[in-house]
Amino acid sequence: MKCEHITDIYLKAGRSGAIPFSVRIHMLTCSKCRKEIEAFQMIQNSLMEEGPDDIPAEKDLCSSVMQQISLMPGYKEPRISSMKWILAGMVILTGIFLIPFNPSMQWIRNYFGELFDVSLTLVLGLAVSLYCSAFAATHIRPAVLKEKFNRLFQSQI
Amino acid sequence: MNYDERTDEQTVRDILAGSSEDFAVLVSRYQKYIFNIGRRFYHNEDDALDFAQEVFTRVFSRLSTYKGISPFRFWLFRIAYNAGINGAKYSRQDAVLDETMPVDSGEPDPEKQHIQGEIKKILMEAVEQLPEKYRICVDFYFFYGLSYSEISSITGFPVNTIKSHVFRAKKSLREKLKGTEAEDYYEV
Repeated sequence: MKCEHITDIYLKAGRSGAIPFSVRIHMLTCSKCRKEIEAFQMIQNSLMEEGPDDIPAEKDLCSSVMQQISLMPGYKEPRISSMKWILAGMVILTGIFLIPFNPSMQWIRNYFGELFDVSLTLVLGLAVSLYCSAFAATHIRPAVLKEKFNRLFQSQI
Repeated sequence: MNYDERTDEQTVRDILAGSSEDFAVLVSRYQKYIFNIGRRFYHNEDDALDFAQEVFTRVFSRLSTYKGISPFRFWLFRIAYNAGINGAKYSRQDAVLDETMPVDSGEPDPEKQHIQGEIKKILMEAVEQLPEKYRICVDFYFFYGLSYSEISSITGFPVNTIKSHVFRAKKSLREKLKGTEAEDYYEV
Protein backbone atom coordinates (compact mmCIF):
# COMPACT_ATOMS: atom_id res chain seq x y z
CA MET A 1 0.00 0.00 0.00
CA LYS A 2 2.77 2.38 0.93
CA CYS A 3 4.70 1.57 -2.24
CA GLU A 4 1.60 2.31 -4.32
CA HIS A 5 1.07 5.65 -2.55
CA ILE A 6 4.72 6.62 -3.04
CA THR A 7 4.60 5.71 -6.72
CA ASP A 8 1.50 7.86 -7.13
CA ILE A 9 3.34 10.82 -5.56
CA TYR A 10 6.17 10.25 -8.02
CA LEU A 11 3.83 10.00 -10.99
CA LYS A 12 2.01 13.19 -9.99
CA ALA A 13 5.26 15.18 -9.90
CA GLY A 14 5.96 17.36 -12.91
CA ARG A 15 8.87 17.49 -15.29
CA SER A 16 10.52 20.59 -13.91
CA GLY A 17 11.23 19.48 -10.36
CA ALA A 18 13.40 16.69 -9.01
CA ILE A 19 11.93 13.50 -7.55
CA PRO A 20 9.90 14.50 -4.43
CA PHE A 21 11.74 14.16 -1.12
CA SER A 22 9.34 11.59 0.37
CA VAL A 23 9.79 9.44 -2.73
CA ARG A 24 13.57 9.66 -2.52
CA ILE A 25 13.51 8.61 1.13
CA HIS A 26 11.34 5.63 0.25
CA MET A 27 13.64 4.72 -2.62
CA LEU A 28 16.53 4.41 -0.17
CA THR A 29 14.79 1.59 1.64
CA CYS A 30 12.72 -0.08 -1.08
CA SER A 31 14.75 -1.51 -3.93
CA LYS A 32 11.65 -2.58 -5.88
CA CYS A 33 10.30 0.98 -6.03
CA ARG A 34 13.77 2.37 -6.69
CA LYS A 35 14.21 0.13 -9.72
CA GLU A 36 10.73 0.85 -10.97
CA ILE A 37 11.00 4.62 -10.57
CA GLU A 38 14.46 4.76 -12.12
CA ALA A 39 13.28 2.69 -15.07
CA PHE A 40 10.21 4.89 -15.50
CA GLN A 41 12.36 8.01 -15.32
CA MET A 42 14.58 6.63 -18.09
CA ILE A 43 11.56 5.76 -20.19
CA GLN A 44 10.21 9.30 -19.82
CA ASN A 45 13.58 10.78 -20.76
CA SER A 46 13.91 8.51 -23.77
CA LEU A 47 10.44 9.49 -25.00
CA MET A 48 11.31 13.16 -24.72
CA GLU A 49 14.70 12.72 -26.39
CA GLU A 50 13.20 10.89 -29.31
CA GLY A 51 10.19 13.17 -29.64
CA PRO A 52 7.11 12.25 -31.62
CA ASP A 53 7.11 10.12 -34.77
CA ASP A 54 9.15 11.42 -37.69
CA ILE A 55 7.66 12.66 -40.91
CA PRO A 56 8.16 10.05 -43.66
CA ALA A 57 11.44 10.93 -45.39
CA GLU A 58 9.81 11.30 -48.80
CA LYS A 59 7.42 13.91 -47.39
CA ASP A 60 10.05 16.18 -45.87
CA LEU A 61 8.57 19.65 -45.61
CA CYS A 62 11.75 21.74 -45.96
CA SER A 63 11.71 22.27 -49.70
CA SER A 64 7.96 22.83 -50.02
CA VAL A 65 7.88 25.32 -47.12
CA MET A 66 10.94 27.19 -48.41
CA GLN A 67 9.42 27.34 -51.88
CA GLN A 68 6.22 28.76 -50.45
CA ILE A 69 7.88 31.36 -48.24
CA SER A 70 10.24 32.44 -51.03
CA LEU A 71 7.16 33.99 -52.66
CA MET A 72 6.21 35.92 -49.53
CA PRO A 73 6.96 39.64 -49.19
CA GLY A 74 9.28 39.29 -46.16
CA TYR A 75 11.58 36.79 -47.86
CA LYS A 76 15.10 38.00 -48.54
CA GLU A 77 17.28 36.31 -51.14
CA PRO A 78 20.37 34.52 -49.83
CA ARG A 79 23.28 36.95 -49.46
CA ILE A 80 27.00 36.47 -49.05
CA SER A 81 28.14 38.23 -45.89
CA SER A 82 29.90 41.60 -46.25
CA MET A 83 33.00 40.21 -44.57
CA LYS A 84 33.38 37.52 -47.25
CA TRP A 85 32.92 40.11 -49.99
CA ILE A 86 35.55 42.40 -48.47
CA LEU A 87 38.02 39.55 -47.96
CA ALA A 88 37.57 38.37 -51.54
CA GLY A 89 37.96 41.96 -52.78
CA MET A 90 41.19 42.37 -50.82
CA VAL A 91 42.57 39.13 -52.27
CA ILE A 92 41.75 40.33 -55.79
CA LEU A 93 43.36 43.76 -55.21
CA THR A 94 46.47 42.20 -53.67
CA GLY A 95 46.74 39.94 -56.71
CA ILE A 96 46.51 42.93 -59.03
CA PHE A 97 49.20 44.86 -57.13
CA LEU A 98 51.52 41.86 -57.19
CA ILE A 99 51.23 41.34 -60.95
CA PRO A 100 54.20 43.64 -61.86
CA PHE A 101 56.49 41.69 -59.51
CA ASN A 102 55.78 38.39 -61.20
CA PRO A 103 58.78 37.27 -63.39
CA SER A 104 56.42 35.77 -65.99
CA MET A 105 54.75 39.16 -66.27
CA GLN A 106 58.09 40.77 -67.15
CA TRP A 107 58.60 38.23 -69.89
CA ILE A 108 55.06 38.76 -71.31
CA ARG A 109 55.55 42.55 -71.23
CA ASN A 110 58.85 42.26 -73.08
CA TYR A 111 57.28 39.98 -75.63
CA PHE A 112 54.06 41.95 -76.33
CA GLY A 113 55.33 45.46 -75.61
CA GLU A 114 53.60 48.50 -74.06
CA LEU A 115 50.18 47.68 -75.55
CA PHE A 116 49.83 44.70 -73.28
CA ASP A 117 49.88 47.01 -70.19
CA VAL A 118 46.99 49.02 -71.63
CA SER A 119 44.83 46.00 -72.42
CA LEU A 120 45.62 44.36 -69.07
CA THR A 121 44.73 47.55 -67.20
CA LEU A 122 41.43 47.76 -69.09
CA VAL A 123 40.53 44.13 -68.34
CA LEU A 124 41.43 44.43 -64.64
CA GLY A 125 39.57 47.75 -64.38
CA LEU A 126 36.48 46.11 -65.87
CA ALA A 127 36.77 43.15 -63.48
CA VAL A 128 37.07 45.44 -60.43
CA SER A 129 34.11 47.55 -61.62
CA LEU A 130 31.95 44.45 -62.07
CA TYR A 131 32.92 43.20 -58.63
CA CYS A 132 32.03 46.55 -57.03
CA SER A 133 28.73 46.70 -58.93
CA ALA A 134 27.78 43.20 -57.80
CA PHE A 135 28.63 44.15 -54.21
CA ALA A 136 26.54 47.31 -54.38
CA ALA A 137 23.62 45.50 -55.99
CA THR A 138 23.49 42.81 -53.32
CA HIS A 139 24.23 44.97 -50.27
CA ILE A 140 22.79 48.41 -50.77
CA ARG A 141 19.04 48.59 -50.32
CA PRO A 142 17.30 51.57 -51.94
CA ALA A 143 15.16 52.19 -48.86
CA VAL A 144 18.21 52.36 -46.57
CA LEU A 145 20.05 54.58 -49.04
CA LYS A 146 17.08 56.92 -49.28
CA GLU A 147 16.85 57.08 -45.49
CA LYS A 148 20.57 57.93 -45.21
CA PHE A 149 20.30 60.51 -47.95
CA ASN A 150 17.30 62.16 -46.23
CA ARG A 151 19.13 62.24 -42.91
CA LEU A 152 22.21 63.80 -44.52
CA PHE A 153 20.07 66.31 -46.37
CA GLN A 154 18.17 67.29 -43.21
CA SER A 155 21.36 67.70 -41.14
CA GLN A 156 22.76 70.10 -43.75
CA ILE A 157 19.63 72.23 -43.59
CA MET B 1 19.11 15.05 -39.25
CA ASN B 2 20.03 18.61 -38.48
CA TYR B 3 23.62 19.56 -37.70
CA ASP B 4 23.17 23.29 -37.27
CA GLU B 5 24.41 24.15 -33.78
CA ARG B 6 22.80 27.56 -33.48
CA THR B 7 20.03 27.89 -30.94
CA ASP B 8 16.52 28.55 -32.22
CA GLU B 9 16.70 32.11 -30.97
CA GLN B 10 20.01 32.79 -32.75
CA THR B 11 18.58 31.33 -35.93
CA VAL B 12 15.52 33.59 -35.65
CA ARG B 13 17.79 36.62 -35.22
CA ASP B 14 19.74 35.62 -38.35
CA ILE B 15 16.53 35.20 -40.33
CA LEU B 16 15.27 38.59 -39.24
CA ALA B 17 18.65 40.11 -40.14
CA GLY B 18 18.11 39.02 -43.74
CA SER B 19 19.15 35.38 -43.91
CA SER B 20 15.70 34.06 -44.83
CA GLU B 21 17.03 30.75 -46.10
CA ASP B 22 17.97 29.85 -42.49
CA PHE B 23 14.27 29.27 -41.89
CA ALA B 24 14.92 25.81 -43.35
CA VAL B 25 16.89 25.02 -40.17
CA LEU B 26 13.81 25.64 -38.03
CA VAL B 27 11.57 23.69 -40.40
CA SER B 28 13.92 20.75 -40.34
CA ARG B 29 14.18 20.90 -36.54
CA TYR B 30 10.47 21.14 -35.78
CA GLN B 31 8.59 19.61 -38.69
CA LYS B 32 7.91 16.34 -36.90
CA TYR B 33 6.56 18.17 -33.85
CA ILE B 34 4.19 20.34 -35.86
CA PHE B 35 3.20 17.42 -38.04
CA ASN B 36 2.23 15.43 -34.95
CA ILE B 37 0.19 18.31 -33.56
CA GLY B 38 -1.57 18.25 -36.93
CA ARG B 39 -2.23 14.54 -36.59
CA ARG B 40 -3.94 15.14 -33.27
CA PHE B 41 -6.36 17.53 -34.92
CA TYR B 42 -6.87 16.04 -38.36
CA HIS B 43 -6.29 12.33 -37.81
CA ASN B 44 -4.73 11.73 -41.21
CA GLU B 45 -1.28 12.15 -42.64
CA ASP B 46 -2.05 14.32 -45.67
CA ASP B 47 -4.06 16.88 -43.73
CA ALA B 48 -1.40 16.90 -41.01
CA LEU B 49 1.27 17.66 -43.64
CA ASP B 50 -0.83 20.49 -45.09
CA PHE B 51 -1.38 21.76 -41.57
CA ALA B 52 2.37 21.72 -40.81
CA GLN B 53 3.14 23.59 -44.02
CA GLU B 54 0.49 26.17 -43.23
CA VAL B 55 1.84 26.62 -39.69
CA PHE B 56 5.39 27.19 -40.90
CA THR B 57 4.23 29.73 -43.45
CA ARG B 58 2.30 31.53 -40.73
CA VAL B 59 5.29 31.41 -38.40
CA PHE B 60 7.54 32.92 -41.07
CA SER B 61 5.15 35.78 -41.71
CA ARG B 62 4.87 36.47 -37.97
CA LEU B 63 8.51 35.97 -37.10
CA SER B 64 9.12 39.67 -36.57
CA THR B 65 6.55 39.62 -33.73
CA TYR B 66 8.58 37.04 -31.79
CA LYS B 67 10.04 38.99 -28.88
CA GLY B 68 12.39 36.32 -27.56
CA ILE B 69 10.87 36.39 -24.07
CA SER B 70 9.81 32.75 -24.11
CA PRO B 71 11.76 30.00 -25.92
CA PHE B 72 11.09 29.90 -29.65
CA ARG B 73 9.81 26.31 -29.53
CA PHE B 74 7.17 27.29 -27.00
CA TRP B 75 6.04 30.19 -29.21
CA LEU B 76 5.95 27.87 -32.22
CA PHE B 77 3.92 25.19 -30.43
CA ARG B 78 1.44 27.82 -29.29
CA ILE B 79 0.93 29.05 -32.87
CA ALA B 80 0.52 25.46 -34.04
CA TYR B 81 -1.95 24.61 -31.30
CA ASN B 82 -4.04 27.71 -32.00
CA ALA B 83 -3.96 26.94 -35.72
CA GLY B 84 -5.15 23.41 -34.96
CA ILE B 85 -7.95 24.65 -32.70
CA ASN B 86 -9.08 27.27 -35.19
CA GLY B 87 -8.61 25.06 -38.24
CA ALA B 88 -11.68 24.85 -40.42
CA LYS B 89 -11.18 21.17 -40.99
CA TYR B 90 -10.99 20.31 -37.30
CA SER B 91 -12.67 16.96 -36.98
CA ARG B 92 -14.31 15.82 -33.77
CA GLN B 93 -14.38 12.16 -34.65
CA ASP B 94 -12.41 9.86 -32.42
CA ALA B 95 -8.73 9.87 -33.13
CA VAL B 96 -7.44 6.78 -34.85
CA LEU B 97 -3.76 6.16 -34.43
CA ASP B 98 -2.16 5.96 -37.84
CA GLU B 99 -0.39 2.62 -37.65
CA THR B 100 1.40 3.20 -40.93
CA MET B 101 3.60 5.89 -39.43
CA PRO B 102 7.20 4.78 -39.19
CA VAL B 103 9.22 5.23 -36.03
CA ASP B 104 12.34 7.41 -36.26
CA SER B 105 14.85 5.56 -38.41
CA GLY B 106 17.83 7.72 -37.41
CA GLU B 107 18.47 5.60 -34.31
CA PRO B 108 21.28 3.13 -34.89
CA ASP B 109 20.30 0.64 -32.17
CA PRO B 110 17.58 -1.71 -33.51
CA GLU B 111 16.76 -3.13 -30.08
CA LYS B 112 16.24 0.34 -28.65
CA GLN B 113 14.17 1.20 -31.71
CA HIS B 114 11.93 -1.77 -31.08
CA ILE B 115 11.56 -0.99 -27.38
CA GLN B 116 10.81 2.68 -28.09
CA GLY B 117 8.17 1.61 -30.57
CA GLU B 118 6.59 -0.64 -27.95
CA ILE B 119 6.58 2.12 -25.32
CA LYS B 120 5.07 4.59 -27.77
CA LYS B 121 2.38 2.11 -28.69
CA ILE B 122 1.51 1.50 -25.04
CA LEU B 123 1.48 5.22 -24.32
CA MET B 124 -0.73 5.88 -27.33
CA GLU B 125 -3.17 3.23 -26.11
CA ALA B 126 -3.23 4.97 -22.75
CA VAL B 127 -3.78 8.31 -24.46
CA GLU B 128 -6.70 6.94 -26.46
CA GLN B 129 -8.56 6.41 -23.19
CA LEU B 130 -8.48 10.15 -22.44
CA PRO B 131 -11.05 12.67 -23.69
CA GLU B 132 -9.95 13.79 -27.15
CA LYS B 133 -9.22 17.39 -26.35
CA TYR B 134 -6.79 16.43 -23.58
CA ARG B 135 -4.79 13.92 -25.59
CA ILE B 136 -2.53 16.62 -26.95
CA CYS B 137 -1.56 17.56 -23.37
CA VAL B 138 -0.04 14.12 -22.93
CA ASP B 139 1.85 14.50 -26.20
CA PHE B 140 3.14 17.86 -25.05
CA TYR B 141 4.27 16.38 -21.75
CA PHE B 142 5.94 13.19 -22.95
CA PHE B 143 7.23 14.03 -26.42
CA TYR B 144 7.64 17.81 -26.45
CA GLY B 145 9.21 18.09 -22.98
CA LEU B 146 6.84 20.81 -21.80
CA SER B 147 5.98 21.40 -18.15
CA TYR B 148 2.42 21.47 -16.79
CA SER B 149 2.39 25.27 -16.67
CA GLU B 150 3.72 25.56 -20.23
CA ILE B 151 1.04 23.17 -21.48
CA SER B 152 -1.56 25.18 -19.60
CA SER B 153 -0.28 28.39 -21.15
CA ILE B 154 -0.50 26.89 -24.66
CA THR B 155 -3.84 25.13 -24.36
CA GLY B 156 -5.62 27.29 -21.80
CA PHE B 157 -6.60 24.23 -19.72
CA PRO B 158 -6.15 24.52 -15.93
CA VAL B 159 -2.86 23.09 -14.62
CA ASN B 160 -4.71 20.66 -12.32
CA THR B 161 -6.75 19.25 -15.19
CA ILE B 162 -3.58 18.68 -17.23
CA LYS B 163 -1.87 17.13 -14.20
CA SER B 164 -4.71 14.72 -13.67
CA HIS B 165 -4.79 13.59 -17.32
CA VAL B 166 -1.02 13.21 -17.52
CA PHE B 167 -1.16 11.28 -14.25
CA ARG B 168 -3.76 8.92 -15.72
CA ALA B 169 -1.60 8.39 -18.78
CA LYS B 170 1.51 7.80 -16.68
CA LYS B 171 -0.28 5.37 -14.42
CA SER B 172 -1.69 3.46 -17.35
CA LEU B 173 1.75 3.42 -19.00
CA ARG B 174 3.32 2.11 -15.82
CA GLU B 175 0.74 -0.65 -15.44
CA LYS B 176 1.02 -1.78 -19.03
CA LEU B 177 4.82 -1.69 -19.03
CA LYS B 178 5.02 -4.18 -16.18
CA GLY B 179 6.62 -7.39 -17.33
CA THR B 180 7.25 -6.12 -20.86
CA GLU B 181 10.56 -6.05 -22.73
CA ALA B 182 10.61 -2.30 -22.30
CA GLU B 183 10.67 -2.57 -18.52
CA ASP B 184 13.46 -5.13 -18.65
CA TYR B 185 15.42 -2.97 -21.07
CA TYR B 186 15.37 0.08 -18.85
CA GLU B 187 15.71 -1.78 -15.57
CA VAL B 188 18.87 -0.65 -13.83
